[in-house]
Amino acid sequence: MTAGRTIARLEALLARVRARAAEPRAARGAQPASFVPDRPVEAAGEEDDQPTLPPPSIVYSSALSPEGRERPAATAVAAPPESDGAPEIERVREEEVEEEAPVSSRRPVVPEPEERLAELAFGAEEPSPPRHTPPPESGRLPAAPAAQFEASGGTNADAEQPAIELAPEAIRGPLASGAQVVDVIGAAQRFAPSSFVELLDASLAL
Amino acid sequence: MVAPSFDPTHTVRFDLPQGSVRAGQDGDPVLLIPCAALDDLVLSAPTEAVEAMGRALGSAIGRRAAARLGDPNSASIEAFITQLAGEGAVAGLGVLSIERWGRALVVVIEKSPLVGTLLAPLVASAIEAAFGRKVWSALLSRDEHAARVLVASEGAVERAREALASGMAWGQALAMLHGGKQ
Repeated sequence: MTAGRTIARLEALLARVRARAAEPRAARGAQPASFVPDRPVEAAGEEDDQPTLPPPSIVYSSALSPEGRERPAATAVAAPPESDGAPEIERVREEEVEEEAPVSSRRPVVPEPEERLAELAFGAEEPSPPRHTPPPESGRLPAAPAAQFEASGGTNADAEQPAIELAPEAIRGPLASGAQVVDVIGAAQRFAPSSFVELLDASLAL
Repeated sequence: MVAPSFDPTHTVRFDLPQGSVRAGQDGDPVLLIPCAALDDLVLSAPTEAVEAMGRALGSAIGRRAAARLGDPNSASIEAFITQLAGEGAVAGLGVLSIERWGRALVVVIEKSPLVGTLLAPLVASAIEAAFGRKVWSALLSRDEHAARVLVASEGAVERAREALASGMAWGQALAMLHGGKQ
């Protein structure tokens, strides 16, 4: 296809789009419209006795993906008509709906929206590790390189340093030798007998 | 002040030809008997007999101590206890001393071979004989080292005995006797 032909086709397409945009919406609704099934079309087991009809010209986006997994209901709209004017259904892109990946899915797990917003706003602090990593392989783990051990508990580099001699460091509180420690409560005995008879009299007076 | 002393010269006389032992200036006859025999007698005798025996032993000792002092009423505490302890040592009673707990007079006898039931009346009788006054006594404590005897009035001795019988410590009993006085 030459460039001139391509340009001509694009201009024709632009003209059709402008023409359709100018048409009222009601007019467009009368066209063979899109059909959105609520659920996927069941297998034709129940309709075996019905006559086989020719397939419609409307292209449905299947509810089943090629891999056989379910997808949400897709929207099919009429394709733009070909140059001969026949009504054609234009397949539009499916509206992508973000969904949570199933547990068994192999699709990459996208980060949470909040995390994505935070990354967009502040930038990722550090690359997050992959969510799904392959399981560790079975078998013996390779041993770490053994460091040379010495009785002093250090390596050879430590042993080369001169040994530090530890000495006790005494810490004593500042206690003044002249502190007045004794505190006598009460008075000394006032009774001081000068003779044995005086003491005997006092004891007999109890 | 001259330190009081006890002169034990000729305190005890052994008259071997006569087969007698005499003590003191008056030559009171004494008897040397084994302590074990005395203990057996005290354990088997009634309380009144034991007290009478103790008073008899103490009376002789107090009288001899007073005779050494001349005028016991004017004697100091140290002078009296020196003579009393000297006479007690000659008799083999042990080491006598005095403790003053406030106003209370307590006589302490250390290393005595006598039982406490003999010592309490012995002390009271010795003081009575020395000073010619009636006194009362109560055994405050007795262990293997020493015995303590309170010398006081009849009422004070009775209260002290009741307090000791109720389980009160003898120090608290002495404090109780003072009742706030010192």
